[in-house]
Amino acid sequence: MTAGSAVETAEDVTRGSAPLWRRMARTPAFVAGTVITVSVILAALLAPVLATHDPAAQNLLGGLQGPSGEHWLGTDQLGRDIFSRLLFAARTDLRIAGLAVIIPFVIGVVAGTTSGYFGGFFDWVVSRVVDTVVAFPFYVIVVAVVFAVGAGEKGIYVALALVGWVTYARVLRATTAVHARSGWVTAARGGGLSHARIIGRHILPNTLTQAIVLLMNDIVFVIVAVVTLSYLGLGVQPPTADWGTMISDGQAFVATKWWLSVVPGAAVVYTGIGLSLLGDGVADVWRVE
Amino acid sequence: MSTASQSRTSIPRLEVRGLQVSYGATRVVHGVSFAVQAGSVVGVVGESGSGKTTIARVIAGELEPSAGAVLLDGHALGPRTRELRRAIQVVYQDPFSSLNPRMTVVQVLAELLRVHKIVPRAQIRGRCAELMDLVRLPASVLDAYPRQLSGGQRQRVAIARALALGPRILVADEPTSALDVSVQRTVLDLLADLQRTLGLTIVLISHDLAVIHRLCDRVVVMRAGEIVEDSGAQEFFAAPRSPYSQALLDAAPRLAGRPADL
Repeated sequence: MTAGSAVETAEDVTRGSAPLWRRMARTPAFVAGTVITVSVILAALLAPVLATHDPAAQNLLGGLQGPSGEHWLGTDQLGRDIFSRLLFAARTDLRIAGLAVIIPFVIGVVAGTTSGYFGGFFDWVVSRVVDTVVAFPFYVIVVAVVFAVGAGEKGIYVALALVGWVTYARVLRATTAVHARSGWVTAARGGGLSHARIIGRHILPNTLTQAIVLLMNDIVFVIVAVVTLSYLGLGVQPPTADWGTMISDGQAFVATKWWLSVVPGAAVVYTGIGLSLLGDGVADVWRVE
Repeated sequence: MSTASQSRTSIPRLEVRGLQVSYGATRVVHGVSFAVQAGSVVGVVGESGSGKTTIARVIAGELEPSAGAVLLDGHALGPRTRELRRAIQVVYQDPFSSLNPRMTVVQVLAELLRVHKIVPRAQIRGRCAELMDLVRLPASVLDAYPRQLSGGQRQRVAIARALALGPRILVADEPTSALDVSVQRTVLDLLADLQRTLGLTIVLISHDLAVIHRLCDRVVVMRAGEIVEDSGAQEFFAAPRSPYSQALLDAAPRLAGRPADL
């Protein structure tokens, strides 16, 4: 109506919002991370199709062979095909890492968000528990829990759930606390909206990106943890193929048959790089300026 | 205070009675009382730290007073129910922090209309467009995120958000002080027009006498948590009763040759 408002509203209101897929395509870390991660997931999913041998089939007379047309990456000390075991190990490690990362994610997001939003006594309790868990060296507490619960997949899940949630809780608590005191939360509250709605519809969309980026990086960490526990004999139990057990099995022959340990080790590194890049990429794509 | 003129009118839309507020051990508002008649605009002026924003927060229910009461249409307000929150809406000073960065304008407005069941579901989008019209923004703004809007546009969205709930009283806490000078005028014009056409009752918190002069029927002057003057706008600008009010008026910048226009 007035001249002033006409000038003001003539401003372009659509600036700065490229569609999501465009921002994805323009982020190299996201593209590279996706390609690597998808290739690992595909290898795991298609393991039964791609594998040239049964990963558990032993051939004691044909052990420790070098790479050949029959066995692309050679055989281990029990004559099992390393290429096939590598693919099936991807299944084991990705499945365990995926599951082991979800439980602490959920616990950490819920605990961090509620303590950051409401503050008070609950916040105090959560913060002290987090401080206590953080004070313990990670592997000491994980190994102790696995010993208590028993080696194997279940032990891994319990141990990582008990320890892993604190990372999410800390980050979510801090970011939620900032948003909970912001003008738009006050306004939403003044609009008569419930706490549950404000947390779910207003705050979480602002904090979850960071939690998901953390999750991506945490999977790398968990894969390394699972591999480490298996290497120590506390994780995946034989004959299930897993990268950690393969590295550990090959260790005795590392001077002469170096590829026995290096190949599964490279698989861990490759997966780790892929997930890290994907985590960084997701952070870049979803960042709000 | 002009108790005589108030007794002639009906129950005020909003009344603040003997309000005391403390932050911890420090009392910042010392027994403040004033009334706002339905359809009028009362300006609360004072320097920083005079307690004006604190009073706005108490009226909005964001802060509990240590003594005294806030009355809406004659009823003392207790714990804020959803309906009470809806009845008293606030436009905040900073339009850059008062909008959720991850929600489009239509998401913000539609949520309020839906939660309070203000219009039937099918008409929500239409009502949002009407609200944009009301605050003189193009309907294309509905699908914008706050970061895509200018300060003035955001403040209009904040006004639309408050109006969406059909409040009985609108508290505007320094609604223009975070905006560019050129934009301040348009937002003030909008508030004035809305007040006239919708018959809004507004409590306007400001330190800017030009803003008060533009909009208010009545002026409450605060200093150090107390009211030093409460008079009609015309009387206030013509002949302020307290020395502090006179000092405030003298301190207001004027353009040479335009002494009447603050």
